[in-house]
Amino acid sequence: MKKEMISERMFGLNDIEEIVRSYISELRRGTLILCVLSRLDEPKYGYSLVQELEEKGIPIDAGTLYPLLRRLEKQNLLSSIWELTDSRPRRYYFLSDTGKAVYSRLCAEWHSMVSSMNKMIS
Amino acid sequence: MELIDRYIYAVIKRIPQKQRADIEKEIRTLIEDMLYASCGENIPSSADYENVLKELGNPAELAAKYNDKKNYLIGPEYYDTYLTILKIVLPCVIFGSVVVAFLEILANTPETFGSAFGDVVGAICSGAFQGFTWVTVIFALNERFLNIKALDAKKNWSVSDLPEIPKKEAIIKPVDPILGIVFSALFSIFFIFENHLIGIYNFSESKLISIIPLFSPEGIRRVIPWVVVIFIMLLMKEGIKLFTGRWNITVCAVAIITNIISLILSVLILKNNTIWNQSFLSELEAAGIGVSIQNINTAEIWNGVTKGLVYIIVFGYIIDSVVFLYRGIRYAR
Repeated sequence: MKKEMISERMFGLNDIEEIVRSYISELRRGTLILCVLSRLDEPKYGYSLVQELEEKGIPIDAGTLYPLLRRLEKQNLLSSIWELTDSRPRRYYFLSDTGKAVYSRLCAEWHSMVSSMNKMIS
Repeated sequence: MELIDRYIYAVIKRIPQKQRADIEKEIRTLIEDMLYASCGENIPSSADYENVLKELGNPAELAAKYNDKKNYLIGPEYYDTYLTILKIVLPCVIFGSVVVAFLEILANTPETFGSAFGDVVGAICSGAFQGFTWVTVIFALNERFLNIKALDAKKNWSVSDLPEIPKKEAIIKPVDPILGIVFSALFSIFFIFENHLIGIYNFSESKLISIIPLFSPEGIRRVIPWVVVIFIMLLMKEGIKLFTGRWNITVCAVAIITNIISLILSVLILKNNTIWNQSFLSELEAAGIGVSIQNINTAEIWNGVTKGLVYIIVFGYIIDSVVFLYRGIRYAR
């Protein structure tokens, strides 16, 4: 009887763990584009961006970032150019004019959202 | 390294041709960068390769991230409608196929019960398959080419787009037009391909000896285009009923106009002497059926029968159109 209750509670905890994890990843996904745009005022290649974001505490899979960069380029927010560095060709991405405009608008939105959110949850 | 090539191939083959070269180059440099990050100047071991590829994840998932296009045949928006229509169409088609199969059996008298049973099962399977395929193809085409328009309309909707709640009697249930379409499709196919089964069945001691066909296959072949036009008219009529979902002036006007066109074409087809089996009367006599009417002018009777058929059809269309007219006025708003 007692054993059953414990296992039920453990299962409940795992459930919460699972739900929290999925919502955190949803929150992160929403901010990802802002992170990427914020780093690309100067040209960077994909993997250097992966490393930089990880250093800054925003880990992201290369397999997620690379397709995202392409999609942003397709939307004309980024431009890209192939360049040789360390005798290896790499594609460098950087903000286009549209990208800059979009980035500053998103930043403004972010700040107002953060202050509203802080008022709500603090 | 072969592993890398295999990994890249597994990604690339799931990506549209045009982007392959570019994405391949990109993934290759990414893998090199990742290897360099984990091994530096050292020559990477096969375990290093494996770890890097594992980190990149399932190639199918990576490819899916590159493809932001839809990878489904029928999207969630239309899936419910698709299922509803399948549920209506499949039983109709299966029923129709069984009817045709039975007529076929009656005409050809298969040798054993087994082969007759086989015919019916075959008809059910192929009917169901045809119905399923066509419904799916139509919905898939809609998904690819029309869905986008539907979405646009969805974004710009206004309150005035809200449909009026129709009076209960003004609602057209989807079963009605779909049944109409399925049965006239079956009838058209039957009329075009199996018209040798329409005629007088000559039984002797409850065994079928022959069928004396009413139509001439040759003549019917010549009027196929017109039969198809009549079928298209019917598709338009039932189609607008299906998509509007209620009686109103437009639905009734379209129905009446298509009725008039089909009526004219039907009369022209039936008036055309070549579609009738010219030797029907002599075949009848040869079979010993016409004997009792020998004294009367059989040609005249024959004439009367074909004329009568025309009258029946004209009468049918007129009744149908009057009903439409009534509904159009009654449920105008």
